[in-house]
Amino acid sequence: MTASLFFGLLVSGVLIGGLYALAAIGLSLIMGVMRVVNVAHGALYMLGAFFVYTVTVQWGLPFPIAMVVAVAAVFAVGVVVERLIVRPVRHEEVNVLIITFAAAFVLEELAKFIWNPRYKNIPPYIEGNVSVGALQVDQQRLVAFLVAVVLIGILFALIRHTRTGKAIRMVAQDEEAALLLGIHVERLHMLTFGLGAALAAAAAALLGPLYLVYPAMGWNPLLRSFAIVILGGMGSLEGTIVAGLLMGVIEVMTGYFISDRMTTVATFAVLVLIIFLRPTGLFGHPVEER
Amino acid sequence: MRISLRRGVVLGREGWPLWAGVAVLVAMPVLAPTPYILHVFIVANIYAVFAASWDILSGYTGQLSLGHALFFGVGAYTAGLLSTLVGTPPLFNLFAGAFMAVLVGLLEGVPCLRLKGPYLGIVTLAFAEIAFSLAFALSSITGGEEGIIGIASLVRGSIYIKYYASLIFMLACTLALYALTRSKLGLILLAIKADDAAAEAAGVDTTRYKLLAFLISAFFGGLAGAYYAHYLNIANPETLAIPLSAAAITMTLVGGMGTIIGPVIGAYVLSLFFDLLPVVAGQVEFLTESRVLVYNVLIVLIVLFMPQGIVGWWRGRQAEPEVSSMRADPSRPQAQA
Repeated sequence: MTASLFFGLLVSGVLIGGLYALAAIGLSLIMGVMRVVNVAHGALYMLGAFFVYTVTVQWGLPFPIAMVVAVAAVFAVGVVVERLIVRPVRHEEVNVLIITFAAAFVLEELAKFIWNPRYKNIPPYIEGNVSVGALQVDQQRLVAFLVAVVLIGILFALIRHTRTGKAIRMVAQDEEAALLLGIHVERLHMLTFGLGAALAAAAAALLGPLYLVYPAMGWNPLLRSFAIVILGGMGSLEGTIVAGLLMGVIEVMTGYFISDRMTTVATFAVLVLIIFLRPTGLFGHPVEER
Repeated sequence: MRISLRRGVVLGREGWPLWAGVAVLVAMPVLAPTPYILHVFIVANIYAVFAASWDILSGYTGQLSLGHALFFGVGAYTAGLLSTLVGTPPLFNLFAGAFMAVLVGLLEGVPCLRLKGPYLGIVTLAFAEIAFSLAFALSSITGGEEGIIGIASLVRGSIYIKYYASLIFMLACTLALYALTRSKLGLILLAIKADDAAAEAAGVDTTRYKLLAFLISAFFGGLAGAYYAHYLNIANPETLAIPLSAAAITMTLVGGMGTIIGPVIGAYVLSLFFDLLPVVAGQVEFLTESRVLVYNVLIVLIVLFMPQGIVGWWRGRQAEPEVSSMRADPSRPQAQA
């Protein structure tokens, strides 16, 4: 095996990993701020892909518009899901898991009714390759990666430098204290949940042309995102990003050296191994009992 | 979710409806002597055991499994492979399937049950998906999408004999699980669900008992899967798929979580609703298409508005004044130290 081949695999792993990080960071955000696990994250991702399909293929509009529509629509769906079913059971972990699990199916079945269960394709938004050094890289993957980097950057800026971001961090740290300071915790929860959903939709849009679109497509991204969030350490956004890139590399390497069919199995194996060996993740701190 | 700590209550606690229900089931071949109805009830019996196996772990002990189909599927595939490749007798395969499910349960339970938080739910979901992917990836062994076909029948003969065999299977399994919840072990599991830390402080080795509950659950889940394979003569990827895991949850929630009898009632109610009513009403297509949707809307509604299920509602009615003051308010945040 040559060094350039290895480098090539590494680059394509990092490129796809950036999008995996984008898909996972919404889940991570919701876990960190609201301390709930959103099993419907994959279904929201799926909805994002379907909205892009509708706008690009059915309405014939350009891809950037489709992406904006998908992100906005899934944000709205996320807000509704939070308000209607997550908030009433938020303090009971088991119930949140069960109810978002069921919500995932409800969204999936609705997608079957609204669209149909058949496999669909989203046409590529950019075609052609670009050379990076001696390497040929699919231009679309490169653009998708760069957009993902920008979006994650915006998220960080939002959380670090705006008043709302400050309030979100406050809620994440101490909900009761935030309440005492007059922060509207429930509204911020809705916002956070919507934001998490919107990020999933953005990832789905950017990855859209690479995968088939169908109602059950969300389960793999969901489990991959879980793997990434746990690998990076629950509640750590930075950890999620590093773990996302790592996961991309792991999958690409598995696909090349073992078999394409084993990439999903590899993802889940990483998830299981990390829980076995270091459940706090690479960057996590042992969570205190609250 | 309400927790009752009254001890020494026997099966008679649910009162006459339970006995009436058993009587109806025993008389079913006389009441409804059509093969299709009996077939629906046989499948309901198998699902009842499967749902009850989820209930002992997630409802009773509070350890959430989101991928319970894994045990069902492992049981089904083990029985199928043994039956078609080795040719061992079905009764042996039932227990072999359950045993394999326990082994798989050990593999996923040992790392997760030491941890607090949502790990178990996530990992069970992931394990079921790994198995589901493997069923396709290893298609030379598992038969891929088609699955394993031509598995020997457990009981040969008329549908009546098959029906009674499944009824005995269901009653034996659920009685065993019910007896377990009435034992000292049941009390320990209930204590773990109510307050993990307090149980630990009281000297209970919670990890060991959680694992025990997990393995018992895997055993009965695998048993149900193996029985399914030997009844329908197939084992396909559907026995590992996420909708089946969700079905166990729906059945249990409809009947009542943490009651063992609840999942059985839930299995019957849902089977009657989805397999008999549409046939009677001639609306087969609509309900087969929307089944998963309705199941999951039901889960959402029950978690939100009627978390105690049918059995909980009945018990509440039986003991109104005493219970209403005990009932935990689901909207109230749990006490956090």
